[in-house]
Amino acid sequence: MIEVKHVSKTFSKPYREPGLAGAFRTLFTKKKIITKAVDDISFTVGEGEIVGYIGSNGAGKSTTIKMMTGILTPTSGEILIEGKRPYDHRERKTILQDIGVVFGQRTQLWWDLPLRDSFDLYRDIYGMSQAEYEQRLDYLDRLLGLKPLMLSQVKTLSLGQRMRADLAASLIHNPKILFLDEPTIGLDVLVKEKITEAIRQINRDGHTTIILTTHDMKDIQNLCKRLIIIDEGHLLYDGTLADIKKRFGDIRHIFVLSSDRLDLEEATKAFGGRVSFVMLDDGYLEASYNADEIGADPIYKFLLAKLNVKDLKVDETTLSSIVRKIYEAKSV
Amino acid sequence: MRRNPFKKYLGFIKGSFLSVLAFRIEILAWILQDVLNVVILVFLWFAIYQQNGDASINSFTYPQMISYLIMASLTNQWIGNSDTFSGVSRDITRGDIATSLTRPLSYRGRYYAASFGSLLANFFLFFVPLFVICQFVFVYALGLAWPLWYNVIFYLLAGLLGMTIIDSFDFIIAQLGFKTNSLFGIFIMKLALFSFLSGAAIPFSFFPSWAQLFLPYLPFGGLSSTPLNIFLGRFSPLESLQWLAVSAGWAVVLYSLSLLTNNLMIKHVESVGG
Repeated sequence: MIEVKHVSKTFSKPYREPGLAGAFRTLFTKKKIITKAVDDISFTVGEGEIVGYIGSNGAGKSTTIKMMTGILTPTSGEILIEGKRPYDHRERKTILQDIGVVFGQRTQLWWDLPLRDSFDLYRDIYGMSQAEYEQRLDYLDRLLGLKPLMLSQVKTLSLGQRMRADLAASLIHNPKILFLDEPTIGLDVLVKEKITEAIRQINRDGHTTIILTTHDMKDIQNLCKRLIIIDEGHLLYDGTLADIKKRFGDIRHIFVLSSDRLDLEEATKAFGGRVSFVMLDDGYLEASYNADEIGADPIYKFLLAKLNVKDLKVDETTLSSIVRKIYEAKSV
Repeated sequence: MRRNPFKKYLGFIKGSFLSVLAFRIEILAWILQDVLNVVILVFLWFAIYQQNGDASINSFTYPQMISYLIMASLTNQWIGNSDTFSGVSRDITRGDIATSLTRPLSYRGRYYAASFGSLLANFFLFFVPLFVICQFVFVYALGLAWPLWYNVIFYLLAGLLGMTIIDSFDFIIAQLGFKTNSLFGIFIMKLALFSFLSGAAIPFSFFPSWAQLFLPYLPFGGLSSTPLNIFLGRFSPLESLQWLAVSAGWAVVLYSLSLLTNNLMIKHVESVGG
């Protein structure tokens, strides 16, 4: 279980003025810029949950993950992993056996050596018996297809292969909790699917708690029931995926391509503001409406009557459009 | 809970041993460069000894001088080729120290183990064969005596201590990476300073008498001067033991210091980030 209680983290950086003279002046001032990366965040994650932890760039996601894994110490508040503080020197030692961490932009593998050597190294670090280790490696091989990579030097692996290997390396000791910081960054669709499938399987087989940060809403939709959204260090939302969709309504979008022009103001008035019309850059007209408030029939009729329609598409609200709205509005 | 707390570091010894094997061609190129250096020095000293007219300068005969310089280069090959400096500075600039904290082991201990692994690899792969060849050259071409067995043992011990001293220095200096971006310049400066102060470039007996009073007692002497003088039989067994004790003292002090800076660095990383 992970408990995050009123956690804040502030960073102070020396104040640097631009330009040559500024750089010189910087040498003699003690001015500091204080930024609050995480501001009074609290949540609890139960055993076996998969939680998507999302936010725009610089929202404080990585800072929170780093505090939960003990790399950073909170300025105030407390984080407990299985009842112990990960950033405490003495308590950390016992927690590290229980957690696995993947930072998508970093590797934890021995660059110049064949992949197998890195796994052997982790076997020794975690004090695993050979039998236990072989069994675990077999399991991870079935999930992630590692066998063909075992004899290649890590530096010769492609990004997708390396990511699979990195994920396996973080799971070799069968941790209870797995932290994934953008594990699918820069990966192609096929590798992404393989990785999300593996994560789901690991959660199912080992009842592993998983905290996942990502910018890819497909990952979230495929994996998480629960979503935590933060922005500028504040907690914006903590709840189920279904809930947030409901809260934003069942928004549908109709896209129409036509050579005719529609008077957008007039069209909006015609529906009493319940449908919003936007002209998109690619020439399509987008009509968005809440399916709980109004049916599709009058809108189609209106559009077909007014316009010479060349093409027509319908789309339901995606998680990414909801999230985009939340990021823009900075509230739920 | 765990059977053997040192077992996890064995992996790093083995890993860095294997890394050296993976880079053997590159290392051979370095060695060739060292050989060229030594050849130039041989000619330089030849000219100096001819000019001088005396058989010995500052208690070194020409053959002794040559064997000293060659052994200095060979010694550096096995004790001074760890990855600690570049590894730690890379971890700092890339911010990888943070990730290393998520694994249950000591960051300092890990680098020391890796240095020991590359020491073993360099020792067996390059030092031993070159050393054997050089001994034949010393004995049959330069007319020197074979080394005494106990001096060889003392030399190996001194080498291990010297490696601990260099490795701890490297570990501490690399942490300047938090303060400066010009680590490469510091690295070059360090190389020059070490080769001068350790007696690798010139034996201590060539330094002014006031410098000879304290230079051997600095930690740098343990890198070259102490092991070389022991190996070449310039110390009595008792003197060897005394100088080994000095090196051992420094090794303990510097390793403890590196542990201290390691903990400070981790505190820093924990509060400010990698």
